[in-house]
Amino acid sequence: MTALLEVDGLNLKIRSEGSLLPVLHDVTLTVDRSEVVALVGETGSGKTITARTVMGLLPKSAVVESGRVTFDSTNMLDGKKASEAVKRIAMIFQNPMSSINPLFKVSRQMEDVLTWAKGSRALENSEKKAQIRKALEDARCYDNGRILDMYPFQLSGGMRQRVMIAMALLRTPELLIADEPTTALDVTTQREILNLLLELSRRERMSLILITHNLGIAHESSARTYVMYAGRVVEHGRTSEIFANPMHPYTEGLIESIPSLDRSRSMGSIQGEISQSDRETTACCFSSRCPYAIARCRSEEPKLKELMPGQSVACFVAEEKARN
Amino acid sequence: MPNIYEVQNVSKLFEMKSGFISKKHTEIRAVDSVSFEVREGETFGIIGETGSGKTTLAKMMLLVHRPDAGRILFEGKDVSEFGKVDRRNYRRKVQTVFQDPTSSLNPRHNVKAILEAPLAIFGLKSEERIHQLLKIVNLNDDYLNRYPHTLSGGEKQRVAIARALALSPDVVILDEPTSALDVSVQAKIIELLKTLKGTLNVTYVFISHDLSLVANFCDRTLVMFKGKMCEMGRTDEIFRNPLHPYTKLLLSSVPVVSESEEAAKPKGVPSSLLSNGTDQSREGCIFRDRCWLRQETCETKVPEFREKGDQHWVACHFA
Repeated sequence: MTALLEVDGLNLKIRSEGSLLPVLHDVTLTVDRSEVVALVGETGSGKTITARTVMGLLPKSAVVESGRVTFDSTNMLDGKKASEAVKRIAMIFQNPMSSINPLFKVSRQMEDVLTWAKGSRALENSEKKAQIRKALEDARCYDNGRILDMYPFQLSGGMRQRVMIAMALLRTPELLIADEPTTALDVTTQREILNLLLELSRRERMSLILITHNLGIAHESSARTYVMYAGRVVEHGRTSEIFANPMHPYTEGLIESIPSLDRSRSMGSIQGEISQSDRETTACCFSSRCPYAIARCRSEEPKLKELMPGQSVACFVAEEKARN
Repeated sequence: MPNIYEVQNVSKLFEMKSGFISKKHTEIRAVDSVSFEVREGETFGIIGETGSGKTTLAKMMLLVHRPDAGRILFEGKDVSEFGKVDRRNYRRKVQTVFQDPTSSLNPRHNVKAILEAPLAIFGLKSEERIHQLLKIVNLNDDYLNRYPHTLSGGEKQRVAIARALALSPDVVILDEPTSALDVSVQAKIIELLKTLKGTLNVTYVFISHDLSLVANFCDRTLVMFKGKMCEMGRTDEIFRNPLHPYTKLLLSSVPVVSESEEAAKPKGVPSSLLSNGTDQSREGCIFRDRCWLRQETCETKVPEFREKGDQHWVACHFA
């Protein structure tokens, strides 16, 4: 079976003040049908720009140097071909307020989405309404008569995110990309939104890419996880394996920085921050922050290698360890 | 340990106006009969969701709002009866760090000016102190001439912490200081706050909606829901033995990274509990609409906030 989405060797640069800054470096990832995949990493690791490449939402300054993005055998980097296929993909964002138009009522915005996705001048008004109501119900906006008549600012944060999900569902997408869908929300609301997304993915056989910096969310919801750092995938594999046995020092650091609920771990942190030089380096991108870095890490770039069945890591130190 | 704060039966009401032609007034009890004390040198956590009243409570402690009922005593004195001199002293002794460093730092001031401002007000301006402040939050002197927009979220929050510490306060009120940050940055800020507490002998009031963070940071914790107190006690006790269903719900909602933590979560919490609006009838338990254990008593009788174990308080009929 071929994957629904394949990103293969994607290299992307951003033009800034006359020079080209590297942003993505050889990013390869796949998403199968009805699979839940997590994309994790800190701010600036390239998660969102990867998703935006898939959606064709790149800024004008972005230049794709090489690589392929294929969605159900359509080349998504070819604008014309992609414009139809992209209707089968939906994306929801971290801050729902900035992706809903504050000047229009929910009902108007949902109708617009429907018209765009289904080319639905053909759709009867009553049919439109029914579809909108169904989408809202699926997203658990129960009081939908009232919600449709509201402006975005009148909705609570959780409700706005639910409306966003309902808008995404209107398109009956085969792939939903959720970019930090719960970061701005309370823990309890976060739990509800996550459960909702997972349930929808199961029921509608919809693939889901969850972009998050919170590894707890990746652990609890996804089948496979990609860990990104400075525009590269540094580790990927089955989620259960990665969390039981993180092999890349960066993954290990990210897991440690999650506060432990039962105080079984003390809270650790990774020193430093992602810098532009990490993206440009020809050595290991994480070597400047890595507590285990050896001389080789500072001169040569490690490639992703499958060190355990189904778990690939780009790290010389982990390679050494796996060999012994 | 002596009490630095005593909050006694404090309530705050807000009036909501709705309707354009026929004005309707609804009262929201943002904080409803809340009492607790903060001991000198401890880290006291206040947790709850949006709308639980935790920020309103902090604002009353910071003299932004006046309580509609009850009193807040600071070192034995009622804060709403402070005279001019007392007020000024209080402003020096109690400082705060807000959730969003982007909106709490003046974008037109560089780091030096930001740190100088509180010192200047109290006539304590000194180059040396500013260098010292940057040093304690692990930033070097290169940052002095930089403006907030050139700093990362973590760096901005470090500057905000340095500013809060400029006047060597006795108390720092931390209102969700890390919820706008990445987890890896959050870990560093918490680490920094812990180290500073050890060296500076300061009391923290830590406001958050993230239970796992509170577990790793606070000595005692108060859980609030819609302005009411649900549970209060030593943090380790609350985590080992949560009594209120709301605390259990919060605990079970935290995404975790290991099987052992998953196993430590309270059992029997339903996976989906929708909240509905701001219904605040004065009768019955405030949490009953979302509670999966509710009985008839919960509809009619307000549960009393009572001591169940050693310093472990809870407001639930069935705890």
